[in-house]
Amino acid sequence: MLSKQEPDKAYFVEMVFTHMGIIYKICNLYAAEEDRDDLKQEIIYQLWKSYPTYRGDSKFQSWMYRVALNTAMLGLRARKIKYTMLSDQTLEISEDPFEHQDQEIRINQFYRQISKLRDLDKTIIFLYLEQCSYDEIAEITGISTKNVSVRLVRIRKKLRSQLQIQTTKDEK
Amino acid sequence: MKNDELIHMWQEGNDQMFRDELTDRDMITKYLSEQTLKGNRSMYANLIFYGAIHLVNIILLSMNLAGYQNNSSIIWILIPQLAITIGSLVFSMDVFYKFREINNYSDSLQKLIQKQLWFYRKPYEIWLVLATLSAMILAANLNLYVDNDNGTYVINNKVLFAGVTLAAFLFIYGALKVTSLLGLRKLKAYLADLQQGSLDQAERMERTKKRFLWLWVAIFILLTASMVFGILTAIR
Repeated sequence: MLSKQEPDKAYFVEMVFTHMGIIYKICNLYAAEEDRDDLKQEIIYQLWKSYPTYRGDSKFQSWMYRVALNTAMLGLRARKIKYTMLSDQTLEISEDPFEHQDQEIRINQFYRQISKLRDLDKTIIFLYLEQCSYDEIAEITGISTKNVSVRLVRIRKKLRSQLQIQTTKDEK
Repeated sequence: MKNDELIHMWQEGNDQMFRDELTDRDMITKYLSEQTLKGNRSMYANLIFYGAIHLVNIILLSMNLAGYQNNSSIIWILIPQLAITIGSLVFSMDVFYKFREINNYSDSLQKLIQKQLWFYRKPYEIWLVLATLSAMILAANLNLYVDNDNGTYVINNKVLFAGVTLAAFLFIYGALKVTSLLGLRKLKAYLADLQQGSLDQAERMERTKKRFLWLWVAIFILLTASMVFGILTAIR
């Protein structure tokens, strides 16, 4: 593992670059379109600031999820974003209207439903969708594994039901 | 719909959504040196500003202790002030350190929320009182220093002096508290809601905040105007 005094910047940049998708997804879920770049910068800055505390006993990816999610939820700019735009944001997925149209509508609805969840629930389902284990989710959020499991059952049920309701409405 | 389908939809959505995203290594390197949390910067500036006031107070108090060394009644007022100032400076440094700690995002979410809530409810509230006291000590000691008449200092109207001092304390504390309320009420509510897993309290507060903002501003302007009027009347 790297020295705490002199973190290896090149290694850090390479690791962040490799896992940049995590940051994109979190920005997409927690910020309105016009604020995403700011949040991205802020997450990268906070990752670098917290890097000396990364001990290497957990996966870099897990540590990155934790710092990035905390920044999105507790960073000041993120809070400003949260109260203004989040529940009404629209997610444009493809510029080509003929490409996988039905699937796009469903994905769009799916994202919209996730972004409307309460913050903690949103974090839990996000980590679940990223295929983190229950233990990892518990470690990142700080709640018990049992609590994660109970909440996930409820959130997934809610998401499924909302998606089905919307599909029915659209079909009508 | 099966759970696996949720994961499948998520992955597929992301593949399409981020295909045009471009953040290269140079951009990441550039972001490492750009601090963007403006709110935190103003908090740090506040802590440093009042820290500097403490240092000025220590210098002024030392000068006054020397200037009033033959006046035992003043000396016994200055010594507790010096003790309070030194204690307050140490506490402020601890608050500064704690503020840095609660902004280290590598802890778990729940732990961070608990730490932030505790910080804003306990040490920060105490710091507000101490910051007010340091402003009062600065004003009082400047007076003592300027009006030092061969080691004596005369208060003509003791009751009025005590009243004005109390009013000034309440005014400075009120101003700091109002500023802090406007900035931190939402944050505290949001943290409390996060802890409970809901956003009810914060959303309610967000709705009422705009309604009450003008009231706070009006009260503050009124208090400032009465104070200025009071000073002008006293000068005449």
